[in-house]
Amino acid sequence: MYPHERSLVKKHADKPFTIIGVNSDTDREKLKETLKKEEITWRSFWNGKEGTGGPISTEWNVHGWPTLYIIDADGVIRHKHLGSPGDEKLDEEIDALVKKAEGKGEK
Amino acid sequence: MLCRIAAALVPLIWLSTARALDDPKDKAGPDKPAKAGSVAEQIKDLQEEMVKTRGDLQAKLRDAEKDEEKQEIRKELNGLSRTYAKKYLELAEKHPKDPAAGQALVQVFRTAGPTSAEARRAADLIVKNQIYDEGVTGFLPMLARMNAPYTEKLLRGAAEHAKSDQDRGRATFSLAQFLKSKADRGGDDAEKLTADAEKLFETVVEKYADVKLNGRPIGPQAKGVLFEARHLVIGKPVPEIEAEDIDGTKFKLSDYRGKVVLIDFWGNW
Repeated sequence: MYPHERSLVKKHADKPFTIIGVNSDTDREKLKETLKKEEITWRSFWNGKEGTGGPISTEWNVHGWPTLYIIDADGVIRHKHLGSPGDEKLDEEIDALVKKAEGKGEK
Repeated sequence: MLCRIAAALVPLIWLSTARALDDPKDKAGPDKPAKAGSVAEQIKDLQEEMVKTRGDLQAKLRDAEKDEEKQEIRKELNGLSRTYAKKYLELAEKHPKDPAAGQALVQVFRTAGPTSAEARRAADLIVKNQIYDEGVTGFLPMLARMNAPYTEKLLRGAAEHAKSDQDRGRATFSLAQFLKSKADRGGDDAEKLTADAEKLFETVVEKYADVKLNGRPIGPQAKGVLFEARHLVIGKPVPEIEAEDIDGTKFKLSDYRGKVVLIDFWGNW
């Protein structure tokens, strides 16, 4: 997942797009090393010490990792995936929403 | 062959048969006078007898020379679980009010498998006599994942009649999950099933929030299911998340309004 996410961030660097993670690792210090090593520059909420049983994933009823939601620029849920739908499909969905958001900005 | 004949007779006689099998020379029968054991004891005897019979048959199979003979033994081995499931079932049917009846019925599910005719009869017996002891209720979450024809009525029975809050709570939660996954598979009654499931999840939140299943309280889990069904729906505004980032700085999902956001529930494992 990381390499493709890195490429998404790069591709949409100057566009209205961001990745927000919800991380379910239990060890925050170790996690910081991973961020460096994997060049994870996007921000993540931390799900707390309970890991996969933490408050955010429990509230959102997440039982599989990754679980992905794509939100448009107006804050509306547009896509939902349990497990990655594949790079191509993800790109398609995000590209379309980014284009739409850019169009709005120009008006 | 011995086993099959024995299955038709009263327990005492086949227990003697088992002892006779222990020592082939002792054809005269048991040396102890016949004494009816408790149901719990009979279950234990049956368990031991099954292990022993299986061992004996396997030894016989190793020693068998003719193909015909081997085939016969294999057939007997394959049918062994079913044979014993019938015995456990008979025992429970004879003593449905005994405290160990539930234990015998759990053995029926274990030996014959949840889709067998014996398992269906065991389920009927549980529902009819409301045998929701610890053994039976402990087995329910597993049965809930099986989608057997009797799963729903067993869970409904336990949700209502199990003795402890814990068992009723777990059964209610398992029933809710069972109905929801049935609804998610589609069909004409999906809408009704969803409504039923949601009502049960609400009951879990209201009455059984602190009950634990697999080490985790079921209240927050039920809440999550309801939250997802009501708010995490395509076309609806995304709920707010406010929490710390990995460095410990608090932030909000809505800080990023105006941008397309890919929310990724991830972990490094």
